[in-house]
Amino acid sequence: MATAPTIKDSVTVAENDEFLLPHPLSINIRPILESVAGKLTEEEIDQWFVGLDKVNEERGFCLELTAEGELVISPMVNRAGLTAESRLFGTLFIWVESNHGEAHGANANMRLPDGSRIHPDALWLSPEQVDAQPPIADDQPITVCPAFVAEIRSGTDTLPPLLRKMERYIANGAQLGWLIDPYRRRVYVYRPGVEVEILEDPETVSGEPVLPGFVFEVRRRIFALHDATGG
Amino acid sequence: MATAPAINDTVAVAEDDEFALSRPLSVNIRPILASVAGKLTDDEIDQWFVGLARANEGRGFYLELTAEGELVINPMVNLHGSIAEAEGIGSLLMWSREHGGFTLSSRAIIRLPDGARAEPDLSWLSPEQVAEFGPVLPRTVTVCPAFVGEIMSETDRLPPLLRKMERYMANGAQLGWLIDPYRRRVYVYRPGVDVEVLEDPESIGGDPVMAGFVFEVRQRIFSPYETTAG
Repeated sequence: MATAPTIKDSVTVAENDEFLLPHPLSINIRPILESVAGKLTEEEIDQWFVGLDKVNEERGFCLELTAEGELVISPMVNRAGLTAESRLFGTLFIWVESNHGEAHGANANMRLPDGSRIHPDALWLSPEQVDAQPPIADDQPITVCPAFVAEIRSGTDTLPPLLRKMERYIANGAQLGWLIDPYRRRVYVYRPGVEVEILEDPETVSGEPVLPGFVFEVRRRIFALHDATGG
Repeated sequence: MATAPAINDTVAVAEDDEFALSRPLSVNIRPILASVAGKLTDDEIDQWFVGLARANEGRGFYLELTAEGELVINPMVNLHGSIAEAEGIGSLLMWSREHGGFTLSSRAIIRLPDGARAEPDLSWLSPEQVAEFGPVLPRTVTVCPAFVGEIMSETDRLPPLLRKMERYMANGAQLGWLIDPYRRRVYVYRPGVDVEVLEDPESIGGDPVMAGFVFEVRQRIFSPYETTAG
């Protein structure tokens, strides 16, 4: 019944199954979170993210968890994005040196009061928050919402999830939030209790009153990067 | 110090953050699995996949888990893939009604002996496997179906599918078919022998595992791709 088919010797297997995610992808993992409720502590769930970062290293994405149980798989930022991140963090760090509090860059793990696990691009803990936090060990996340948080939009980010993320920072207790969009040359400034303020191609953005005297030259430090790189 | 900037009234939030995954994406979730070892049963972990399928409905992907703890996010099949799957399942079902065993739907989440959770496009439990379950069919079970088939979709790449087929065999499948409609090929897997590659076969036979089962792969799967895909 079956025709006699031709038979090939061997199967050539090319190991080309790598692929770059074009945009962040979100998977709702609430069923997993619900199954461990009461069985794992928050600290054990924090360790998931330490472990996930480790075992997925080199895959070109990073993982975050929202309060709704969305596991967000985001592509790594490109070089312009990395430079932008380090310029913002660097400027913040210099300000902290001669002022107070603690600055962290995108490597910091954070667990917000609403249960989300995220990595803001830059954050600042006020001196009160530093005092209230236990000393931060390598594998332990920051467990307060920083007084100041900043996100820089990358080429693969779409805007709506970032706007929601900023709103969440404020809802969790941030006093000041910046969303820097180098593609539209905009900065969205979030403060508790007031509407988001949108700065169109600003030369600088100010940290007042949360970070007194902190001025970030966003046009020169970040927007110009994208001119130079054609982004 | 800061210049007075222009202020815009409102933030226009376009809900354009959906995108179709063009390839399967794999996230290693071993740290999650390790943390629940001894705290959740296999059945409870199976329930993750039932729950995940529900919680992520309409997002255009389905999830599988490999024995290595890779959560694989697979794009849903398109119309061609759906027709091919239905043709395969339909033929298999007609045969198994006569010859026994159970044909499973492609939505079945199968727990393999190595701990993987897979959703093969085609699968059949032999009468012997069904007999081992006892008089009452369990709701979930650890088993590798005697026959497993996968149909390559346009978002798939070959190497992960070949590895998947090898896994089915290592888990105890007696016959495996990987059908590649784009190259008009069928890879036939049997225990203990090298994979056999059939180039544009007219049909493929299930002997001896599925005695007398002949699937007219050219007419049922390859040809529809020609007429619909061009």
